[in-house]
Amino acid sequence: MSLSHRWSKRLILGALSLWGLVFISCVVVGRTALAPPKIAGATFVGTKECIQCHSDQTEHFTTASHARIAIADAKVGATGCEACHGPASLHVKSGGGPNTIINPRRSPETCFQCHTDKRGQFSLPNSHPVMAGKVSCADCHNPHEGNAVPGSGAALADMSETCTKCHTAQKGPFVFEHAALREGCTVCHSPHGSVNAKMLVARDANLCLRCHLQAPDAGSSGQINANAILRTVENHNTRLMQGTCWSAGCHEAPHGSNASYHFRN
Amino acid sequence: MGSVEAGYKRLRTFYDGAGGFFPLNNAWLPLANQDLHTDRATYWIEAKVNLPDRPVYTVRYENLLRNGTKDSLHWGDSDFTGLPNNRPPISQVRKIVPSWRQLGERHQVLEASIAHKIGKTSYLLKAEGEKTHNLDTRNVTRFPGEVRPFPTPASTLLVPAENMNNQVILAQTDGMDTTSAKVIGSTATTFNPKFKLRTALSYELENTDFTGDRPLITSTPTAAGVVLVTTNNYQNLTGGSRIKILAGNVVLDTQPSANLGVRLSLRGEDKYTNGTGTFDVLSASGTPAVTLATTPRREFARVKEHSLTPDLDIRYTGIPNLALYASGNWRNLNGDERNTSAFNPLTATQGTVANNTIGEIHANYNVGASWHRSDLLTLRGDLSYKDHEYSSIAYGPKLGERYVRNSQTSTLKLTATTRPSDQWSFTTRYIYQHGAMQVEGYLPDRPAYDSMALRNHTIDETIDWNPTKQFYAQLNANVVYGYISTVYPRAGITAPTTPTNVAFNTNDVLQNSNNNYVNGSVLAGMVLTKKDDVQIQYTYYHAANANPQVAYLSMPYGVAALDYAVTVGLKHKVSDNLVLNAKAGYTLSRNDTTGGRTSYHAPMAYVSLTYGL
Repeated sequence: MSLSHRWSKRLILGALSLWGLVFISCVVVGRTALAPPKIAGATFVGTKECIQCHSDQTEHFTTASHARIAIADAKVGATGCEACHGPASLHVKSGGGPNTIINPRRSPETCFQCHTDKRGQFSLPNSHPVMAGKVSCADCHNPHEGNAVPGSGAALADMSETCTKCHTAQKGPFVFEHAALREGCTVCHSPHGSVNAKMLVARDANLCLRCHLQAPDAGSSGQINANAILRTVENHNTRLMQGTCWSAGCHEAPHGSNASYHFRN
Repeated sequence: MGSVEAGYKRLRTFYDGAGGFFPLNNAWLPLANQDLHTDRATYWIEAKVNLPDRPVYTVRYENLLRNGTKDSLHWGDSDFTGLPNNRPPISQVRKIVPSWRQLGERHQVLEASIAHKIGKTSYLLKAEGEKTHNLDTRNVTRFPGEVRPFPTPASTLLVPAENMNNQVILAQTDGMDTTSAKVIGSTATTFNPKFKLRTALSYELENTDFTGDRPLITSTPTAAGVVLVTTNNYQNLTGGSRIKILAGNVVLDTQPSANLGVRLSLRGEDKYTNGTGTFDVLSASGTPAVTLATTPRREFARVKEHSLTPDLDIRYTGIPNLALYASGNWRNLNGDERNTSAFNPLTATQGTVANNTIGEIHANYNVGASWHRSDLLTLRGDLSYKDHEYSSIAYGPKLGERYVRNSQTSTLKLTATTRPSDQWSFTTRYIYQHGAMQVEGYLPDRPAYDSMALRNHTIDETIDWNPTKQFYAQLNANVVYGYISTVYPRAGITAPTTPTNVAFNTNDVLQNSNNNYVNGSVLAGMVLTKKDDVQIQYTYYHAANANPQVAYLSMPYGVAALDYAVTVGLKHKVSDNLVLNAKAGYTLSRNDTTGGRTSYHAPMAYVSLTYGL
């Protein structure tokens, strides 16, 4: 029996089994399947109901990034709390009973309804484990108040605080700070996920050469510049052939150093 | 009345400890110990007292731990690449030897706050104390299995890979103990529904004591044979850093008309950082290099900076079914930095000194619209533009040196959600990003140069299908095309031949960094019985960015991988509070970036129990 014939048989068998399960399910069970992030049997009640108990969350929602897409005369439920938390009628009726409302901290599906690109990034091999439920979107973003991207604009907090809460070793302070960190961790790392190891936005020396086209030792062996490429000697060409700028023996301390002015170690 | 919340979370992450694969001779050097894993854990407890018409008191303690081993990208060198050593400037060395880190990190946070509303104003006073203790070690081997002959042959002589360099084993230990204290006070006043004012002020003091040790054990050839010589880049490293940050902001929310909201904000920050350290360098000299000498080192750095960030945000909802918004903020930073590289205090009073004025001008703009035509169609568009400048201008001994970096990034996001029926829903999103950077560097004959170009296209689609109450299906697909380009691939220059240097194409030293990929998933779930749900899922990921042809002059890093997984999950409701989840499936991962050395395929299964209190 040929390989394609065998696969065709398996596919037909699988499809029949699936159809059979759906058929039995429809006939035997009247219960609704809970497609995330939906709540079976619940209807929209409007944000005013939510404020009754959750005023601490709703009080400053008008300042939140997500409030920008709210429409003035929207129908109940189209925007506001229930756009993310699901229809709340069962939740209100049960007095806040368990499993009657969607908690986006437990599943990112609510966020993925609009942020489809983030689902793709979090599904990459190098990403924070959001898909595994170990990290939540809300660990880094506050959807209820202020800018969803923390530390941006005129927010009081610093942008990098989100990352350095867990990544303390990279926080410093170091005696010799790398100025790149002024742009935030995301200048080199893609926090939602990347095809590259360590969620780097570039896996090779392009990561550093974006800014370090020219190095501060004019005329010495430290040049990385168009001039150096032209002449091909007394420059970093040979070193760049060997690997990335942060390889062993090169600039091993890209986050900052307590010993080396040039982030060598 | 109040509440008490406590939690504990722990997860273990495994790492393959892979190094680089060199395709010319299929070189692959695995770690001796490949069982790398890191445990991350956090536990917290929060108590809140919330009596009617009384201040709300909150106390929270959180403890975060990170312990174990993980891989590192600080790969070591190897000459086992099949390339000759006598073709300068073409290097036969490639950094492909895996390295790993030993982590021991603890971060504790204690917060206490009082919140109270008096009249139209809400007050918050919060105190935060943080304590961090880190002791991490990075383990790297350079040139494993290599040692030069004695005496060292001429560099023009072709020698076997095992004789090209000397093996170096290094273990770099960095310790850090940080304590910080922060006080935040804030107010929020609602004068009327159209006029709100928020203010906040914070002051933070952070003290860090650091230690370090970086011994290197080098296999050194001598007339009597190979001896192990231990040197050290920073023996007995001790020092400290201090940070003081005073920050505050004022936010004014106004609503001039029923459909117009305007927010004006201003943030200011004053930051002072200084750090000092001392250490010893243990170096070897002589021929062969076995005479050891210790020299002390001292270092110093200080940065002062002040920034102001005004921010304007406008929202308009006066057109039916349409929300419009625009925002812009401008961060303006001025500062001064003074530092000296590490120097020998016995012979000098300073090292390489840098006195620079530093500046940042960050402008960020954003406009967008959301049009909710009906339940059938919602369209959203968002355009953002960033223009950032960073400058460091020397005024001290290096007067005349300057580094100015400008970058511009534009991002366009378009999202469409259509629901043609109760059964179908389509969400489509397209994102385009364009970036450029210019660097004005230290070389007087090279003023400003285009140093980076970035393009990124992302197309995503999610389709939901609910044909019956008992069945749902979802399809997700993501296609990404993106690259980062710097000067190398755009140089277009072939180097000339000299008597001592062979010609090569500089464009092959470094290619564009491509980040293309396709991934997606198909999910189907259905009700099986009154207590059982079943879910079938297929996931797919494919990236093809590898270019092994450049290996002669470069290290090909492009990712080439194919992953897929099929799983069947069962959710069984044991009782009202207890739910059993079981999942079984098959997964395949093929990784050509590592020459297939990290590829695998395997069945998988897991069971979990969830109990709701």
